[in-house]
Amino acid sequence: MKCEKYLELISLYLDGELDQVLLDDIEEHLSLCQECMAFFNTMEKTLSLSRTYYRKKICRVPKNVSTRMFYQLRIIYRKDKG
Amino acid sequence: MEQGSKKALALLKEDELVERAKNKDHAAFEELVKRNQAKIYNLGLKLLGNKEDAADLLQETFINAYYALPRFEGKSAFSTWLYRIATNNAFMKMRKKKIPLVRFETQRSDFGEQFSPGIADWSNNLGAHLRNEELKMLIEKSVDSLPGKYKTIFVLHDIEGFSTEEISKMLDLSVPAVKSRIHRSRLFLRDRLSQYFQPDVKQGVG
Repeated sequence: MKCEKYLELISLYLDGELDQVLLDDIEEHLSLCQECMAFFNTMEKTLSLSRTYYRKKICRVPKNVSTRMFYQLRIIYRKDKG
Repeated sequence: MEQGSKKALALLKEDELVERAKNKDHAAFEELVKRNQAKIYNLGLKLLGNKEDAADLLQETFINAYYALPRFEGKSAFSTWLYRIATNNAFMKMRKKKIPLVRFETQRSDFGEQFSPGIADWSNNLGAHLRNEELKMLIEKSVDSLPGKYKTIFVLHDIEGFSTEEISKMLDLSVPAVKSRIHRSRLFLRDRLSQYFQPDVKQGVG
């Protein structure tokens, strides 16, 4: 396989979704091809940075936003009854 | 509502609350809202990029959920079902704002699909960490510039940790289509970060 073909498989590889034959194949290729390895490393880094960034950024629902929503829901319960 | 029964609701399992909520037990429904509101609000922040739209999305999602609850069959987790409603609402908002849902707006159409020599490995670069404020802004801007449906799939899979099967059901899309969009989103993001770390090297690919 050419490098392009391996790169198409890189997401499946990262997600552990390759069968054993392709897995052995891609791992062998990565160990021999510096450029594909660089591509793989930077892809993995991109994902770990993004994941960590967003997971650290979790916000609480602002009190006024939550209050407004519950107020709206109570209007709907009344409508739903009548 | 008495304090005692509120406490009791907090101890109930999700499916028990759903059953009660289906029988018009509003306190049970509100307990479900309380348990899930932060998830939906944060999803809104990621998909829509601002607090006002995230707040609207939150409210609309639970109002829709209230009306749709009689049709919820419990085949998926309640929260997964909520995500389905929330993502549909998010797509509607994106359409209203003329945010492209599937079209990439970039001059670089080749992000990562072809391979070129000279690709640089910046993964151990000194700036490649989250104390780098510039990088944090770039990550946010790059995710934000993914087309709406790609961004949604990327967030659901790579940030929130949903499986491709769950996303396929949530978005009425085949599993191969979900996988392909995950892959393309990742290529796009990798390319953006590579341009930052190695602006002079032809990145990736072509």
